[in-house]
Amino acid sequence: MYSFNNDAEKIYFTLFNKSIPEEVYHRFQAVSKKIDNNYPHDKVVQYYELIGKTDDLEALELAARYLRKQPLLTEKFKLMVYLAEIMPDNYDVFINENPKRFIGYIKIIFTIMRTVFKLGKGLIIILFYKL
Amino acid sequence: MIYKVIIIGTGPSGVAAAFGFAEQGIQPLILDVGKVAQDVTPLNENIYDYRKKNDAFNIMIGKNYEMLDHVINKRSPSPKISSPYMQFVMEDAGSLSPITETGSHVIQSFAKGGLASAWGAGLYRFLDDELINVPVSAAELDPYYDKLTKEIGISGDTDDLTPFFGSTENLLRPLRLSGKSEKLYLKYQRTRRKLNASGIFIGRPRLGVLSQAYDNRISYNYHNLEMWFPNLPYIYTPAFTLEKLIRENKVVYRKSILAESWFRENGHLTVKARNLEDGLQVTFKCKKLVLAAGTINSAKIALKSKNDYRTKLPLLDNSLLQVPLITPSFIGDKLEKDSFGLTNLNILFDWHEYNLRLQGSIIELTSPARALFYEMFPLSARSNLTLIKYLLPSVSILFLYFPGSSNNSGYITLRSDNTLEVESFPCEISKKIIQKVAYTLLNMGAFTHPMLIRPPAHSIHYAGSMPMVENPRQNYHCNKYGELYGEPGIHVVDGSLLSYVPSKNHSFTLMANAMRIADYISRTIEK
Repeated sequence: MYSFNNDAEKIYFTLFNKSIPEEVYHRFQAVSKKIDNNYPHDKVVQYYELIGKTDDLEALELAARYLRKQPLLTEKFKLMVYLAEIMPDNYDVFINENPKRFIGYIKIIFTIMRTVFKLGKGLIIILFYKL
Repeated sequence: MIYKVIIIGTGPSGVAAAFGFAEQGIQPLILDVGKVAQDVTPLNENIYDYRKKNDAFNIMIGKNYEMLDHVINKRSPSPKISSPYMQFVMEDAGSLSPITETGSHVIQSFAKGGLASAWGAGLYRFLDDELINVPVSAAELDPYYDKLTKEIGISGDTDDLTPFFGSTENLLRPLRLSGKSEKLYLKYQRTRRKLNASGIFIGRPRLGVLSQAYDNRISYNYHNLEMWFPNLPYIYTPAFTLEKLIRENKVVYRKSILAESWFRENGHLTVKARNLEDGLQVTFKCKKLVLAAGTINSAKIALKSKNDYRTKLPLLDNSLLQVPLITPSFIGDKLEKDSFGLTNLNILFDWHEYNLRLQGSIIELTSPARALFYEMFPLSARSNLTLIKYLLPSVSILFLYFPGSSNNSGYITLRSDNTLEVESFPCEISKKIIQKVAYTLLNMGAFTHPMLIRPPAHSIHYAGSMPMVENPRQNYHCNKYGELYGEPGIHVVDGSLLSYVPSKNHSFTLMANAMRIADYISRTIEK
């Protein structure tokens, strides 16, 4: 079964590894329903089912994005990034205020490797759920 | 009452025409829808410093989630026009002038100051070889460019682009360069002889942005608010000159008036319009009518006045290529949050072998929301956030403009239900050109790759619907003074007049030309 309420929490946690602040939650809900309305009902139901079933949403979203499946999931991530960026608590996630050139390079290399791993995992999830 | 002159529209051309009439002692009536920004005071600190302490929802998302329109409704105007306090620029445009569009998304504005209320403030003189097919020379425009330079307050410099940008007289000093632009500029200066021989020139932009206090306006403060707040005193918009003319009683300004057509009666011209406050039809009489409603809307008014639902008028625009530039030594660096968020440098590719002159603007990416780039990066969600933090400080973007001409024009036609039908597609750009641009930039230390370049888009430099020609012999062609063929007393002064748009922002030239035409009308009108 799916719930229409837990996507905000799960997406936020996937992105920032912390609980969603109340303001962001309410703002996400206000817009989320409008985005749902752009999609056929069965796609929306599938989206909420996947949110309920999948532990690694990041992997699923990446693979789905590459295969052009479940665009609703990608849009919800995008929406969450916009809503999260404006919060002072997330300032450090988006803005680098201290020059860390060497660390920057390392992080980018690591992040590419991470993406490759997540893509593989996401493809398996998609196969498993027969998306 | 019969006015000597009525001007329709308050974009750059309309305001420049009004400025010209005021100089000649003629007080025109200006008809304008005149949407204005909500009353909002800009921050008096850098937006990033503000964001560190405050929830920036009202500024960056908007009470009605305006900034998320592209996510919710899949519309994609430029980020600047989408920002919450800038919404007035396109407010009600769809209902005031309905359009069915094929190809590119068409942007219209009924704001006081027109689309220039959200412009990048690039102000460039045209050279003779850029005034193609129009019976006007650069020398004829020069006195008007000079007057406007003093009115606006334009920053710029004497450099390698001066031969392409024209006189530097009365320019204010240029704005401070961002770190990345400075590095690129130094690299260019070290290798300029070789680059110039290959037709590549770099220099400082001409911008209507104040590098010092000018005309009771403060200088740019590097607070990075240009994306988010309207009417910043240091970024010129035509609305500034308009306000001054209204204050000095040099124009009569009527807002909430949507001009729809004209007709002739008893030897004068009558403008038929709708008063948007009560929805009633109103009329205004004049001797001379100046159309400055913008390329698309001036065309609509002309077609409507002639009850012409068949003619297809041309629509030109500069196609735009967005080329991301990565400066590797800035990877992992701190975000330069006090850099100027619009054009830092101009680059010119003058390639005779392709018979092509392309002008580009190198723009810092400090102003937009970081989230905008999240959707452009190809990695997993959290990895994209890492790129935003560590890669984005090393990225700037080159907006490269391609000329628009009758060979690659779209069209405008009016349907009997008053809807405009607009078709326009960006021109196709050869892979060879894209590769050559990428290779040139790579040699200057800015990494890019053809795969990172997005497909061409339009730039909103509309033109060409009622071109100015030497000897007009057909409807919708204008003479040297913008007077429509077969329509004495109706003068077009906006982008409609250009039958070629070089790779250069045309706003300044339209303003100078509007002043030139206003000057002519003033001389000929019965005083």
